[in-house]
Amino acid sequence: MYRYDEFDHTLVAERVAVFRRQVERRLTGDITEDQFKPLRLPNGLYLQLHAYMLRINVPYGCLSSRQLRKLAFIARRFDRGFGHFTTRQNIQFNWIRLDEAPDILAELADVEMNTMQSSGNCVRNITADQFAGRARDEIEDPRPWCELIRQWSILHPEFGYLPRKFKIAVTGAASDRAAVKFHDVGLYLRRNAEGVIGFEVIVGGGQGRTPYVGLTIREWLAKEDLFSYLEAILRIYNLGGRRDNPNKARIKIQVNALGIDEFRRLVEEEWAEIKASPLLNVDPAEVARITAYFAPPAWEDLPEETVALDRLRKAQPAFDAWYRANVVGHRTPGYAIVNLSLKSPGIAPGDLTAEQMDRVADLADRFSLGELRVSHRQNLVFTDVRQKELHELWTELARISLATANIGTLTDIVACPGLDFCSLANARAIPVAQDISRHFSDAATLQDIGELTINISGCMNACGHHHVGHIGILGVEKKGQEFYQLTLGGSSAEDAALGERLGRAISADEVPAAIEALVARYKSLRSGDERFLDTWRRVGIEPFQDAVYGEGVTPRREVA
Amino acid sequence: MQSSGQMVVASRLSDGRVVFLGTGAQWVEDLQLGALARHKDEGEALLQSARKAEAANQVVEAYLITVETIAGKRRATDWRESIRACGPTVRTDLLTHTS
Ligand code: HEM
Ligand code: SF4
Repeated sequence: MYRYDEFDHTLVAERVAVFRRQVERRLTGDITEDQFKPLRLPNGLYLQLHAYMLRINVPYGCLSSRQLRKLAFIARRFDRGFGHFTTRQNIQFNWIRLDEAPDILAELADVEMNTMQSSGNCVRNITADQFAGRARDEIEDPRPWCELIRQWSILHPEFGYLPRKFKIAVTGAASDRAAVKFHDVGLYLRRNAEGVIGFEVIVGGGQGRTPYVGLTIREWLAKEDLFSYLEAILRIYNLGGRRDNPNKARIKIQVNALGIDEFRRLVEEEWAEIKASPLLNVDPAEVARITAYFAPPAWEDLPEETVALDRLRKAQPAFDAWYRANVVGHRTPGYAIVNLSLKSPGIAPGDLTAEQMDRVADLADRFSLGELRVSHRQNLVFTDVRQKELHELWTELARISLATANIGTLTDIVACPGLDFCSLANARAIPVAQDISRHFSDAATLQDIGELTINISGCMNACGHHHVGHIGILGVEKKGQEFYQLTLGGSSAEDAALGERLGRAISADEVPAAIEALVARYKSLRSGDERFLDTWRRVGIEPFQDAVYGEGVTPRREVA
Repeated sequence: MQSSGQMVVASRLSDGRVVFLGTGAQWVEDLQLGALARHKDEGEALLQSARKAEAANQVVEAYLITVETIAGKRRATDWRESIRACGPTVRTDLLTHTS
C-alpha cells in the first residue's frame, strides 16, 4: 500500500492548517458563506439536508485496518456512529459539524488520509478494480498507475478550475469491475500486438442526466506517455468544455458535440506539442519507486484447499451459498479474495457502523494481512485470505451481519443516499433498496436468479449508477410524490450498455412486485444458464413490459 | 381543523443542523416550536429577520416553507421539507428525531 512521504505529510498538514483558519474566519464572520463555499467544497465538506456531509477519499479503494479504525473513531466521536461507502470507493459521514471539521481532517492526516479534491471541478479520487493486484484475470496491477495519476493530478496548477468535475478509473483486468467506460477518462491496461503493456484510453463516458458510454480515443498508449496524453486531453477539455452551462460542462458533452474523431485530432495535435516535455515524461525510476509500495505481500506457500472446502460446503449449505456468491479466486494458490457484503436485508446499502468498522479492522489484521478494499458496488473486500481460514472468517463475519451470500445478485443493490440525506434528491433510494432486499432474502432464490444488478438513484444525477444496473431504478417526483422509473439492460462491465426505459413510473409500494414480475418473466424465458442481461438482450423489452404493466398494455412513455 | 401557514427553515452555520426561526428571533430545532406566519406579510417579515441572522453568521440558506396544522400538530406540506424537519426515514435506530 502507498505510504505518505515527507512531501505528502507536509502538503496534507498544511492543508489542514489552512482549512482550520478558513473555518475560524467563517465562524467569526470574517468571510461570508459565498466566500467560504469555494473553500469548504475542495475539502469535501458539503451542506446537506440535515447537517454537513464530509466525503473522505479512499484512494482507488485501498484501506488499511489502521485507517478503518480511525474511520470508526470519527464515526463515533464526530458523527452518529456510522459511515456510508459510495460508488466512487469513498466514504461519507452525514452528521458533521463545521466547527469540528478541521479536527477530523487532522485525525485523518494521522493515518495518511485526506479529503482533497473529493469535491469541486477538479480531478477526483481515482477509482480502480477492487481486486487489483490479486485478480486472476489481470495483466498488471493498476494501483501504481492510480497513485501516479493521483500525484500528477493533486493540486495540478492548470486543472484546479476545470469546467466540471473529472473522474478517472483504471483497471488491469479482463473483466471490468470498475465501470471504466463510464468515466471522463477510463484506462484499460492492455498489450499491443508486440505484447507490450500500455493503456487503451477511453474518453467521454459518464452518467448523470446525459449518460454516455465512453469511446476509445487511443487503442494503445505507451506507459511513458501517460501524463502527456492525459494532460493533452485535459487541456482540450479545459479550453473547450461548456463553462456556460453546468449541465453541459462535462467532457462527455464536448466529446459528443465534436465527435470522437475531431476530439481525438485536437488531443493528438496538443499532444504532439507537449509530448517531448521532460516535465511530463513518466520517469521509470519513479514508476519503480511507486510500484514497490504495491509489491505483493509475502504469501505463504500453501496448497489449494479444494477437498477440505468441498467437505465443509457439503456439510453446511449456508457456508456453501456464501462461498459461491462471495468468494473469488486469487492469483496465488491457497488464497482467496473475500467480499464482505454491506447489503444484509433491510440495511442501507454501503452503510457500516463504527462497531462493524472496528471488528472488520480486527478481522482484516487476522485474516487479510491488515488490508482491505472498497468496491464501487459499495462492498468491502479482503484481498488475501488463506483458504484454510475461510470457514472461520465466514463465522466471524456472520456475527457482524457481513456474511450475506449475495454478491452480484439481486440484493447486492447499489443505492445513493437519496432524499433521506441528499439535498438534490427527488425521491428516497435507501427504503426502496431495503424493501427489495427484505423481499428477496432467501439465498437459494438469489442463487437461482443468478447475476442481476440493481442500481438506485434518487435523482437524475445518477450517483447510484441506475443507467447501468441490469435493472435501474430512478427516483422522480410527480406532484410532490415519489415515483420510480425502471430501466432495463444496463451494464457497467466490459459489455457496457445504458439501460432502456421500461414505461411509466411506479410508486415505491409497487417496486418489489415489479421486480418480482421481471424476475419471474426472466426465469420463464431464460435458456440454460443465461443471465438476466443476456435474456433481455435476446428477447428485448416487450415481454418485460408485459410482465410489469400487463399484457397488451402499451406503457406510456414519459420524460422524467 | 386544518390551517396552513409559513415558517422559515435554515441550516445552522456551526453544525449544519436544520433550524426554524422562532418567535423572538432565536432559532429552534423543533418545527412545532418555530414562528408561524399566517399571512404573506408575516412570512416576508420572518424572512427579513432570517436574512439578518444570515448576515450575522448564525444560519445559512434560509427560506420559507409551507406548513399545515392538523389536529394541533404542524407538518411541512412538501415531502422534502418534512424529511428535513423530521430527519431521515431510515437508520432511525441510530438517530434521534426531533419531531
Ligand atoms: C451528497 C451529495 C451529493 C451530491 C451533491 C452529488 C452531486 C452529483 C451531481 C450534481 C452529479 C451529476 C454530475 C454531472 O453529470 O455533471 C453527480 C454524479 C455522480 N455522483 Fe454524486 N452527489 C452526491 C453524492 C454522491 C454519492 C453518495 C455518490 C456515491 C454513491 C456519488 C457518486 C456519483 C457518481 C458515480 C455520479 C455519476 C457519474 C458521473 O459523474 O457522471 N455522489 N453527483
Ligand atoms: S443521485 Fe441525486 S439524490 Fe442520489 S446522491 Fe446523487 S444527487 Fe443525491
